[in-house]
Amino acid sequence: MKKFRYGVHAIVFIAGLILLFGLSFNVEAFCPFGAVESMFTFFHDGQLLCSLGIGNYYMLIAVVIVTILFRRVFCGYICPIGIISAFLRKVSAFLKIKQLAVPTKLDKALSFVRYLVLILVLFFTAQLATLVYRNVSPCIIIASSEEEIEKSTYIAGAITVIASLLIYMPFCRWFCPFAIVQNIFSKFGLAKIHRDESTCVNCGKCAAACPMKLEVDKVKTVNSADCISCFECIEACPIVCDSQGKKPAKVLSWRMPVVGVISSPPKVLTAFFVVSALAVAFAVNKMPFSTYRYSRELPVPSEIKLVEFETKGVSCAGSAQLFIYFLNREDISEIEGYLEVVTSPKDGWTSVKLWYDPELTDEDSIFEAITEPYYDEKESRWRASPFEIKGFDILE
Amino acid sequence: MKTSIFCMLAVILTGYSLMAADILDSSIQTDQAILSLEAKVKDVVLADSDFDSALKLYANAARENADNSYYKDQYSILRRVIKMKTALDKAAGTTDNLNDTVIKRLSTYYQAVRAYYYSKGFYSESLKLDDMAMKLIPGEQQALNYAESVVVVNPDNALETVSGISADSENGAGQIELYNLLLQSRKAKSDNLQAAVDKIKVNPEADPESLVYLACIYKNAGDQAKAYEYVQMALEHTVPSEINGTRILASSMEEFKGEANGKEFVEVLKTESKVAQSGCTGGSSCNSCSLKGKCSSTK
Repeated sequence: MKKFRYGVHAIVFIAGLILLFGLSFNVEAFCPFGAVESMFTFFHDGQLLCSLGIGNYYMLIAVVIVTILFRRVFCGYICPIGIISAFLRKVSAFLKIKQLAVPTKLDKALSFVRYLVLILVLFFTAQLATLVYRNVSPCIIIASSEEEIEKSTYIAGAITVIASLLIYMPFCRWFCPFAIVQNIFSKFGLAKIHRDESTCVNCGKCAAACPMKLEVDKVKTVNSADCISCFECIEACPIVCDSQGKKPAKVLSWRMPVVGVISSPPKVLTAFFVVSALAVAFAVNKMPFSTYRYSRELPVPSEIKLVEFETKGVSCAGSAQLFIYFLNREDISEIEGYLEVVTSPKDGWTSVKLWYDPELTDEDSIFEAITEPYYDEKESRWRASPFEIKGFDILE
Repeated sequence: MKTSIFCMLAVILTGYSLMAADILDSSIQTDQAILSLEAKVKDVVLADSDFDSALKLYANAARENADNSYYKDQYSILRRVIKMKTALDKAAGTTDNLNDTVIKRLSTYYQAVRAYYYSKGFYSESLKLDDMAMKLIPGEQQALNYAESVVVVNPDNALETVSGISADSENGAGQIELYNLLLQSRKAKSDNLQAAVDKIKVNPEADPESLVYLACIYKNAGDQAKAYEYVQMALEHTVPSEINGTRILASSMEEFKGEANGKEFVEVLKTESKVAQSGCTGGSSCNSCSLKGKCSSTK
């Protein structure tokens, strides 16, 4: 089981490195918590924030489904902070660093900090229309370029690393706001660890091994929403035979209603991880939805025309704002009559719907405005347009 | 087993070396093609102010090299510059009173066209543009720009022209002093030159061009080492995207024209920028930009 978990960690880690450094992929556009953060602005204003894309929402849907089935496996297997925390546990054990014992009462009290973090993040994100959690999320150190990282993020990252060497998964247990979101679904999670009280010798090794510090040895079924299905408790259980030393004993098992005992968790989880990854990739590429909507308050014209086209360069809300800037910029006096723009990213291209007043502008002017370079007064230099419209060539 | 692994590694390494050599070779060829095209563009523009022919040169190159976005980008930038220049010429030819909105727009056009001219080394065109701007949208900045172009182009009456320009702001007065000093240094060597130039203060990051002008004064004062040092400093303080413009400016100055092929000067011109390019992706709204905390223009 451990081999399986660390194997998944290694695959996620290597894939992450290839995506980040080899393909310059915007990993942040697949963070499920990004969808939670921007939920208010998305449903209120029809637009995502910063560098978020539709991948965030499809990833969130996948995480919710997997959490309902198998509890918080996202934390245990996929989340970069979870992976690093697990790695640091190993480092700590290797270096023989003595773990700090946190009293149960204090542990429980600290676990409420996550609620506060979640409330503050949602409130300020909605108020400021910017991803405030970026300023303290250690994930940003991994997923963003150096110039995008604030000092506060480095400090939070350093504290997380040091604390993880001394305490079992402190960030995940006490500070992670996404844990609270997952707990809503994990509480009703179907697959649970069961303890057979008749064969258990109450040695407490399962609870001691649990990275989330759950009291596995004191319950018949681990109902806590914080279970990340890492199976470290099962591995730590010393009972391998029944009291007569004949049959293999099953003190701890992973069970699901209807299915019963899941005999091979690695196979089941692998299948679901692969299916989820393929489903997210398919949905992102083939099932676009609008992530940015911009309207102008203009007198309603006698006629409104719609132009639909595909463009490159609009992958997130930030680039969609730049796209709107190209229509609004003052040096293009021609574009007076556009009314509304809706962008839906897919397949590396973004579908754009643009409504305009044909008396004030036309398709060619719109396309030219989007693809023409502009003079950046802030930096006193010319910049080429980052947008390319499928089928439109400025040379023709 | 070991031999086969060794052979495989040797094959892979050879393959990569050949690929790297091929990429390097094609990159050198591309750089030379771009330099050659830019020289042709400069010729047609400076000979007859023929921007339409320059545009055609870029268009043809863009069609022939569809996989290299440089040509298409240059085509579209020049196309936009021509549109702006036409708007400026049209406004200059009218007797109508200009309202604030039009003046603001024309000022933007003027800055944009001038920045383009300076990035390409079209200084004589810039001199005409600055002259027109002084009359069309008068202001201190336009006057300073005009004085700068006079210094760079260096017509016969340069010193008289710049002496007649004044500036109210401290920075502007400093600029005029620098230009006057440079023009005087061209006329005659003076013992006080060194002392006078040492008093001039420039902000290297904000104005690396001024370092080039200081280099020219040192050159005229006979201090070649310091002249090269200032050119080097100017290049180091120019952002990477604009460094070619500073190289063109330095090599176009009266003082360094004769050294265009000089080994030492060519080496100095190879100096790379030491300032980081801003991460700004452009646009007007910085509200949701993740880099805004680091952006000087929003602080």
